[in-house]
Amino acid sequence: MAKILLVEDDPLVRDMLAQVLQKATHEVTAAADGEEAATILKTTHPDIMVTDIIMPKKSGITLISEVKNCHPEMEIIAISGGGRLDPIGYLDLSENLGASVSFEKPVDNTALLMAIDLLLQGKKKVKA
Amino acid sequence: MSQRMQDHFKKHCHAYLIAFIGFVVSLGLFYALQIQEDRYVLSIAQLGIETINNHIQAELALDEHLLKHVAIPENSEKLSNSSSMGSSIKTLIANYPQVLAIYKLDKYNKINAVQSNNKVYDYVSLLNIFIKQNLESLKTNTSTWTSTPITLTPQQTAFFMVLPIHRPGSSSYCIALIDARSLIQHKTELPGMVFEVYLNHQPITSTSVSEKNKSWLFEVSENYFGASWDLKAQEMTINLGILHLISKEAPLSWITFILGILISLLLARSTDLSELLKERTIILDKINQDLKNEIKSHTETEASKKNLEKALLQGQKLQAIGTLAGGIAHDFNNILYAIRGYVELAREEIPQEGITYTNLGKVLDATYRGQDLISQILTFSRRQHHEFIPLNLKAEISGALALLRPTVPQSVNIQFEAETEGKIMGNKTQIHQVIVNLINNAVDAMDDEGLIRIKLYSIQSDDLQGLKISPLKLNNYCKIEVSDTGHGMDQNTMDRIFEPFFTTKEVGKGTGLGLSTVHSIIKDHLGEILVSSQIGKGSTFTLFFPERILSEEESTHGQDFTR
Repeated sequence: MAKILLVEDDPLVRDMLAQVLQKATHEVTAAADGEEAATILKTTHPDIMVTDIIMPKKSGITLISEVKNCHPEMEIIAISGGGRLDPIGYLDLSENLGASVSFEKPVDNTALLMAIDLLLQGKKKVKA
Repeated sequence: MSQRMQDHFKKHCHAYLIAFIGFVVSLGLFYALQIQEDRYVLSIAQLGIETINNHIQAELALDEHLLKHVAIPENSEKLSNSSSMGSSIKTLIANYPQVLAIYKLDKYNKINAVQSNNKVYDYVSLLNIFIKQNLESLKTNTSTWTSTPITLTPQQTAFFMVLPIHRPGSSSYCIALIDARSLIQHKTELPGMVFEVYLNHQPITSTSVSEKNKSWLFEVSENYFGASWDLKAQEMTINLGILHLISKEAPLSWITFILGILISLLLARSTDLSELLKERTIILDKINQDLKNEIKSHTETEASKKNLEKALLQGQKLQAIGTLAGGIAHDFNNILYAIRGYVELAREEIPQEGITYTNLGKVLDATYRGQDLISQILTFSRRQHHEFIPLNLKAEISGALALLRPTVPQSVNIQFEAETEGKIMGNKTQIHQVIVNLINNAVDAMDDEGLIRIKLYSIQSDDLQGLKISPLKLNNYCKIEVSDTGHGMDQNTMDRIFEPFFTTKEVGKGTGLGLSTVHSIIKDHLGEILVSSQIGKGSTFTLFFPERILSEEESTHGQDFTR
């Protein structure tokens, strides 16, 4: 049972993930992009943020680096859809900047849910 | 002599030489034949004169002396003694200057001995004619003197006289050449010979010359040998001379001369032509060879250009595919993710034994296949990642510029400065693609006229900190600046310039893939690309490539492993 901030620009994925997380008994707040997420974070303190990396307006990386300063206790899970640039590089970078875990889309949701549970329990860095 | 004339002469010297030799030879032949003819003509003229004069005398009133010799008295012994013949003749000649020469003839009427006081060889030909003319009488009348009247005219100063020689058992004769002037002036008789002189058919002497006749003779002779030349005879002589000069024998020398000149000119011309031909052939051969070499190198250049174009195109295609794949991969992954997620959610709500559960399981399988496919495409497009070789940016840029230069308008000036060799790890074709794309964009931005400057530097990583590029692990970087004097870009354009399919060009003019390809390549090379621009002034693209770590061999021996 965690408060999760979901940041994902694709509506289908966002809706699907929200359902998946909610079905797993988590409280989900969804944001469509980094700016929305930043606004939400001003007023709430989620336990975990699940965020896409490549997004318009504010990239996930920037979001991560910003958030980490303001919400140091928040765990961050980064997911990425890949693309023309090396996804692995970006994920490595996001982990270097503060994400605890990173996944490549399409993500194995079971693994994602497991990661959330583990982070909740230990709030340690776990590699998925 | 002017330089041109000197050169002309040197070039045609063989021809001139042959022409000159030919001319000299022809001239020589001409003169030789002329001289021969002159002699002949002279002889003929002399004979002619004689003949003519013989005819003239009948027509013209000439003072003439008619010399007639009468037979030697039979008791004359002096000349008939054969044993003293020789000495007699010698004595005769020695004592009597009137006798210029004695010609002794053999039985074939050929001269076989000459005794003379002076050189009288000129008369030999006349003698032969004399002999021919009198052959019959010489043969038959050997026992008596001939009493042919000999007519003398002013020009004739000598005459031939036949002297029969009596020998026991045979008879022969010799011919004396008598100097008539001398004869008339001094004596009219020779031992054993009697001369009668007639004037106008009237005898003026008898067997001996009287004092009276002597003085008369002197008178006559003075008259005779004075100035009263017969003009007509002289005229005729001259005419005869000319006549003979243009007779059928005379032109021989002229013909020979002209023929000689023509032949030598022909020879000269043909030598000239053959030398010219040789020269031309050599020049043509050289030109031919040069052309062949040019064609060969041109063909080679064309071939290598085609290969490079092919490779570039291939690379560009792959890049395009990669870009496309990369572009859709993100969305595609999202789609696959969504499908999988929803299907899993759905499966959780239905009984596992039902057919629906199984069918949804098949949908999931399909998504796994989709995922594989996408990652295959992405792997394929990123495959070049691993085919990096040691490269030398300076050489690669120079090479690309060399190939580009002919395709770029002359009015576009391209300058390349390199401060370093630019040793990196990379893909040769891709680096070329980068340069080609950047240059082509610069040319388009400048509307075919302006300056493109490319600079290659080496910089330390510390210098990078001020710039907005991701921190990378390697120490030194190669920095390439490509700047143009084109119309520049605004901020909006600059923000989107590396987007695939983004283009500021008209429809059909640009694919929009160029710069996004460049961007991908640079990223693959673990580098960075930045753009700055000013509207109206121009744009600058700055590329960073990490320098490669030199292998031990390279750094110690300074060898260049680039290709």
